[in-house]
Amino acid sequence: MQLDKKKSFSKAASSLLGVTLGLSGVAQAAQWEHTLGLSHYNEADGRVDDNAVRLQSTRTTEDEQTLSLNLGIDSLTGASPSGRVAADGSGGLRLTSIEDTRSSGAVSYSRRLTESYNSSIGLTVSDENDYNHLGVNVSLSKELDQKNTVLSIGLAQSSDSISAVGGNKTAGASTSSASLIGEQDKDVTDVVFGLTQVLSKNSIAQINYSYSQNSGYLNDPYKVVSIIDSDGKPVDFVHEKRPDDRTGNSLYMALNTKTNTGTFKPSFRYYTDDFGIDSQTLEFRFAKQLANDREIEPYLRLYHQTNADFYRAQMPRTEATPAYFSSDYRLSEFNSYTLGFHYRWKGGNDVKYSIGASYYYQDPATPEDQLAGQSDLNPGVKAFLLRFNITF
Amino acid sequence: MAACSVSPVKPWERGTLALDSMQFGAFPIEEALDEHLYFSKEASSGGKGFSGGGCGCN
Repeated sequence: MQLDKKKSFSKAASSLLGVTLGLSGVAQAAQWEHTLGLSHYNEADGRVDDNAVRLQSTRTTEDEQTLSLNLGIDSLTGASPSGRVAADGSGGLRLTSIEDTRSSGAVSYSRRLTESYNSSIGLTVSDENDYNHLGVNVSLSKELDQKNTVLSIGLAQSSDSISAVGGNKTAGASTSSASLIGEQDKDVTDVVFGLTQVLSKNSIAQINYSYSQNSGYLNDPYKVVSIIDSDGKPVDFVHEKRPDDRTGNSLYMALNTKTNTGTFKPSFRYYTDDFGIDSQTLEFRFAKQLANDREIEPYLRLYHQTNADFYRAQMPRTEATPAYFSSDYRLSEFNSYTLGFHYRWKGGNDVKYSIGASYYYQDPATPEDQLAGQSDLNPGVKAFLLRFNITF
Repeated sequence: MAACSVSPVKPWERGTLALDSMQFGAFPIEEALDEHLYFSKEASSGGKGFSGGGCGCN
């Protein structure tokens, strides 16, 4: 149930940019670099807890070939909202316990094709007790204007399968009578167009346009929607039912600019899809170099999303059942705020260390008529994240 | 955006641009973890690179 982040295409473009922007103007010698990351994520009120280990090993050769291997393990415990309301109509969030271990892996290979063209290919896999993923990705970039401009295009295709614990059930059917429907498939196609532009000796900007197409089984097999009577008491629970395709577009812009005070790194993303989700993400990072090769980088992220057209915290029995419905809080309208920092330093033998912490707060704005007086059906999320990385 | 650059920055002038803090995607594990969190808790995805997948959580 956790995300395996594919190798970022912007990382491919920037890593290529980094190789050609060495201090001496000469590509760095071939070497391995390993990064081990440990993280602990915890949500308040007995919800999700995730402990993870990630390892990335990268080998870069003198002729600008890069091989990157990624492994990750997430141990997930705790509980997640189920969509069920209390039998007596008293409200309150009903949670379903979760326990899962997710393994993930990725391999990517990039190389320079010509003086101005670079390419990369990659493979991603993940496995958990109810979800499997297999994906491939390719990308191509072109350098222009004495390598001050990089144009890039990337394509990724995934084939995922979902087998819920206890079996997948018919979407929209009552939990008391739903039939098993067997393993379900989901395909995802992503296309990314990117432009990275050096603005000056101290500034660089990036713009990415992304298109994504999801098709197949897009439901959360564990989520239900409560059918309630006039007293707020449930008369039935039905498995959520989402459309079987989803098209999304996003535009992302970022700027890194170094001043005598430090490096300012604002970014903005606009996202929209045909689920009815529109979102804006504004992020501010400030990297301050300290003495002895140390750095501290605080950041603030502000996010807003509208709700999906078919989001329903619960459904009154007196109303006609809509074509699609889900009580998943992640499809509701909310603001979220993230405040965090990274602290980085170097040790002996060129080993790099970093620690980080962040606090995430999700503040929902579900319409009152949907909550029917049961405001704690979507109380939001409060979580903290701790992490430690070592690069050698 | 290429028109904004009055004159190209030469390779020997790119010392600052080569710093980790100036490069996009310089800390892939940190960024992957951030995107993991946001993808798991929110309805949006992608932007910085491929929009993600390999997860049943959204």
